[in-house]
Amino acid sequence: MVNLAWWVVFLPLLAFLLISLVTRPHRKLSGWITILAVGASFVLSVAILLDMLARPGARESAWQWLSLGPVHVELGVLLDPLAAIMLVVVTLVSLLVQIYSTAYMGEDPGYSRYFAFMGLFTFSMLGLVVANNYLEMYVFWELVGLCSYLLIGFWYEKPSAAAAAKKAFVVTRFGDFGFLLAILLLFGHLGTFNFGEVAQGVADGRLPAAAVTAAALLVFFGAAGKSAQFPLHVWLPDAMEGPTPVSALIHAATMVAAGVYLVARTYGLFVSSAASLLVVAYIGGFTALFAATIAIAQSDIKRIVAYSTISQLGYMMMALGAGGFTAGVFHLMTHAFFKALLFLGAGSVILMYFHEQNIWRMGGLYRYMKITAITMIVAALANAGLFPFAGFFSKDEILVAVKESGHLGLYWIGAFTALLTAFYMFRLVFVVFFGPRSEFSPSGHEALPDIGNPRPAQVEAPGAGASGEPAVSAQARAEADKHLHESPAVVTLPLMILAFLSIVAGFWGWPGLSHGFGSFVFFSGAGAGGGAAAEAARAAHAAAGFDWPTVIVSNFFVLLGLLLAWVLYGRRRRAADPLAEILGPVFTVLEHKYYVDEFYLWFIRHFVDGGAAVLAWIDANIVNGIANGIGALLMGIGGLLRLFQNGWVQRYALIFFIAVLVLVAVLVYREPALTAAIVGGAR
Amino acid sequence: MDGGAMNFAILWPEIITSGVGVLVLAVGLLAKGETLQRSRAAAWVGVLATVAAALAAWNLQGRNLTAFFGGYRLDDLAVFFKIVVLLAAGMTLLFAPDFLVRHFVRPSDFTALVLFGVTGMMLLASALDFITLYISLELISLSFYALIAIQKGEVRPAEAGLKYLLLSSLASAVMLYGMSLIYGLTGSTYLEAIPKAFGSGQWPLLAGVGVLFILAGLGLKVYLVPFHMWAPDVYEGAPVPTVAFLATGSSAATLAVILRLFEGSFAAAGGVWVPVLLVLAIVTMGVGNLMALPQTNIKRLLAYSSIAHAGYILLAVAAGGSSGAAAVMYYTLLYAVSTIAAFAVVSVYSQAAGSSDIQDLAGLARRSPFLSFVMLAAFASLAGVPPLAGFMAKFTVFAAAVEAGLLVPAGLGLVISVISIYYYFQVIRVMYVSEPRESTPLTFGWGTRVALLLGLAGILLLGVFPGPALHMAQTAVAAGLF
Repeated sequence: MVNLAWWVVFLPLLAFLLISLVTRPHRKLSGWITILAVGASFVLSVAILLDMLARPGARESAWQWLSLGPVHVELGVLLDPLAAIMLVVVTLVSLLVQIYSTAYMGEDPGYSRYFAFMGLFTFSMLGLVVANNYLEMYVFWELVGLCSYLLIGFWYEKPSAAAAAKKAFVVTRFGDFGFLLAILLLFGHLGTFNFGEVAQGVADGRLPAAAVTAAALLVFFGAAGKSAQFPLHVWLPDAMEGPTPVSALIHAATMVAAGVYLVARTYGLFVSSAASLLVVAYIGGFTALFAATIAIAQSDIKRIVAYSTISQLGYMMMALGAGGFTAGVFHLMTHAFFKALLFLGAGSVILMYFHEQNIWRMGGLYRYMKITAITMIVAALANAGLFPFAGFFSKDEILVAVKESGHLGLYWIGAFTALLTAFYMFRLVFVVFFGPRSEFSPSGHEALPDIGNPRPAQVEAPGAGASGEPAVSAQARAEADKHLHESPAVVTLPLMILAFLSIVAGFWGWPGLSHGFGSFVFFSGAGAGGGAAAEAARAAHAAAGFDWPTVIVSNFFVLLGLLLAWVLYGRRRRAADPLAEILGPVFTVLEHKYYVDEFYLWFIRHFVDGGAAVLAWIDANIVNGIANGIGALLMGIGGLLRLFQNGWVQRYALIFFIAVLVLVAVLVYREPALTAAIVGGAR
Repeated sequence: MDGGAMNFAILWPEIITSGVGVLVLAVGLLAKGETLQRSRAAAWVGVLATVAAALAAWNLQGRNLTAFFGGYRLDDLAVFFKIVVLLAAGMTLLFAPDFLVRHFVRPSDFTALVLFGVTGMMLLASALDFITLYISLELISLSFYALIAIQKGEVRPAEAGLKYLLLSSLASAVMLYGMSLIYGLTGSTYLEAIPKAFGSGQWPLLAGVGVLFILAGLGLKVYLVPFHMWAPDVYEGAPVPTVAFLATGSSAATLAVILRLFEGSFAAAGGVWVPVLLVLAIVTMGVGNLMALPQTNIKRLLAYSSIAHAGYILLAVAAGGSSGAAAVMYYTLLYAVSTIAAFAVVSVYSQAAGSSDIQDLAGLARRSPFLSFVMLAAFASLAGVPPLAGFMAKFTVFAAAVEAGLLVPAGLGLVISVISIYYYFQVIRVMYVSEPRESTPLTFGWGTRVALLLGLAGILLLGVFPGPALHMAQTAVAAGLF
């Protein structure tokens, strides 16, 4: 079974190579190659998962990649329940996204390139999942970063897309640096990259406590970059510039999942350092709340979902930090399904609705695209975490784990975030799918200016839209409405499959279930307090069933959020956000994402740019001078040496003999007895 | 040692290449209606012969047999170098016909000479006494005299051939003198007899002189400065396929014998030659890299590049030990693959342009993306850019030097090697950035395509998966030099 994992990983790479080297001119074929390869990977992943369910345990197979003195680097595969689950999630979501993409990207001139990159992206993520050592994981980690750069900037001719790709790359690279330092720190102390050996070394106390904490925090810094945790979250909303299926893949199953997966994979480090767990838990909890508050004031359909992603990732990190390993991983899985569904659903709307992304230009779309609307509502319920949707079970697990860990503050943050989640999800649903059509709805494909969140006062001013644009005449809109229809089956089929999973996937985590998720994926590591005690605690927890107070609290908050959304948006008459009036200036702050981007820009402009200018001056005037000087000097020496090389064979022979004579002279000179005889030192 | 018994089984690689060489020559001379185009088939026969010989050599791994009264040894070291020289010969024969036919040279003649040359190289890799060593070396040189001047009626190749003849005869004479000195002192021509004869004590002065004479003679073949002066002129004048084979096969085989002599026979006299070789290796790196800077002709640039790489390899020889020897072997392999790939590209574009000026590479990326990509990979590999093969090779060399305590030479070498990035990427810049002078797409035959693909695969695979080749080199060294 372990050997199957190699195939799972390398089939998508094969698709990438095949497309880029051979089939690039044949669009349809290129698409099918990636779909087939990822489909085969999915089937094999399911086989691996079934095998793992039948016989749980960790299996490793490694191949000595490089051996230089004391440094041994392996290229290996580590399969355990965690990896098996992730393989299935990644390949399934990737497969559905590819199928969806055949329609979404159908008209794009870069169709083949798109599918080649998708293959490479899937390969990188799968390699990251099965990696058995830190260095291998780092290689794939960077590959994932590279692929996201390529895909976010897929429409590189658009300046905003190119900028977003660069931003995603730079911000996550910033985090990666921490990860690299952690790897070097661990290798320096333990002399190995292997996950198991490092965990064992940490458990045996071969690493000073401070080093463990430092390593764990550095790993978390890397994970925070990829998983968009505060303060490294800024790249993710901008990443919406990529094609929507890419957003679905990045934000559900691959890039952002990588950070959470990394923390789960190296969990042995974290459990050995209480301080690092605390940092993870609080950063996660804060991010969950922080992103959720931003999400309630966004107007771009994809950005709302993007901030929701950041918020949910915060939940997962909070769970891991609170010791809820199973809860965090379970949420990673369920979230993959409903978040992919939200993005693909948003993409379906955008695709059919003249590529418009502002929710205030929509409204009442339910009657044109019923499948999209219903599946989106399912996803919204799952994301909000209402019983019995998938998100309920995993979020419930998280809240219980946090409660058990004793961080009651975090517990209430988590519960309150659930309210906000329900609110912003149904704000989206009501504004997009129900109520009257917007006064600002587009009547054709021409790009419209961004109107943001229209304020009620603006809309009520007679005859003018939010940005002063004239209202579209009823006739033109009726004409445009004739073109509205449901997306094709290749789009709706993935939506329905994901909706099904968003409903049922949670039941695997039903508390007390004898073969539930918790008895499959759990942390049994060699960390402090591991072994029998943890096993007993886990068994007790698994058997306990629902924590009723938490169930009631979380569902109450979700319903409250839903109700608030209905009160504010469900009965609206105009395309205007009443919340803007209620919250006043606070709303503006939220709308501007707490001005974090502006702060970064300000900081960069005033501090980094200044320093850079100084360095640039040094570079231009001093370093360049030196470099050019050295260059000129070397060129000069080269030119001088050239004089010897004049093509005369006699000269060459002469140099040959002189050289031999010099060598012999040196030898003789160094011979003490002979030197003495020649120089005259002999008696 | 097996006494005088003739164990022909271990000679299969040499038998195949020399036999096919004779056959190709005879058919080429006797067949009626032999045209240039039809004679291309001879090159394919030659390629098959090298493949068959390489398979035969591969099968002989781990045997460690001796034949011909101890004058010939088949061990893993020999097998490794045989495979390297066969690879060089095979790749050369793959892309040579396109060039030869255009210059009115019959591929059958060329093929026969390459096969004779590669036979000499394989014998040299197995030579265990001075007689075999010298004969093999002469077989190589004789083949190259003809291969360099094979373009009848053209002045530059003839001039290059003459220069090579004169200077390599000179080197042979000096080397023979060194051998005779050592033979006079030890009474034996066997390599393994030398350390036994001198025991553990101080070597006599004359023996040291002999060692240095041999170093000078072999140094000429591997571009050791200051015995390198023939190389740029010969590279520039000789036909491209000949240069490709000369740059890789000839120096690879000579390195095999250098390893046997200096790491084996002369190991006890390290005090005599190690300081000399260290200094010369660093000078070689310096001269090679510096002289490459002002070159405007790609063949001369590659000559100085060969010289620079010889410096790195000889640094590993001076470092010695098992890691030094393994580094020499791995470096030789990667250098052969990268260099031949580069020459295959040069062969195609210089035929089209009618010159080998670097300027004529302008816009190659647009005329043939594949060619320029191979050139990019080859040059990036030679410049030592990770994760390509050249990076791993430089890494092993400098690691071996550090392991041997040669921190200053290793540091100097690293600094000097930085220069190389400039001239390699200068060429890459011309290919990718400069406007093409003409825009006709470049065409080339299947043989060239296969050679280019082989080179590309080698550069990538040896870099990303250095394990197997390095392991092979390490086991070969561990098995002993004689």
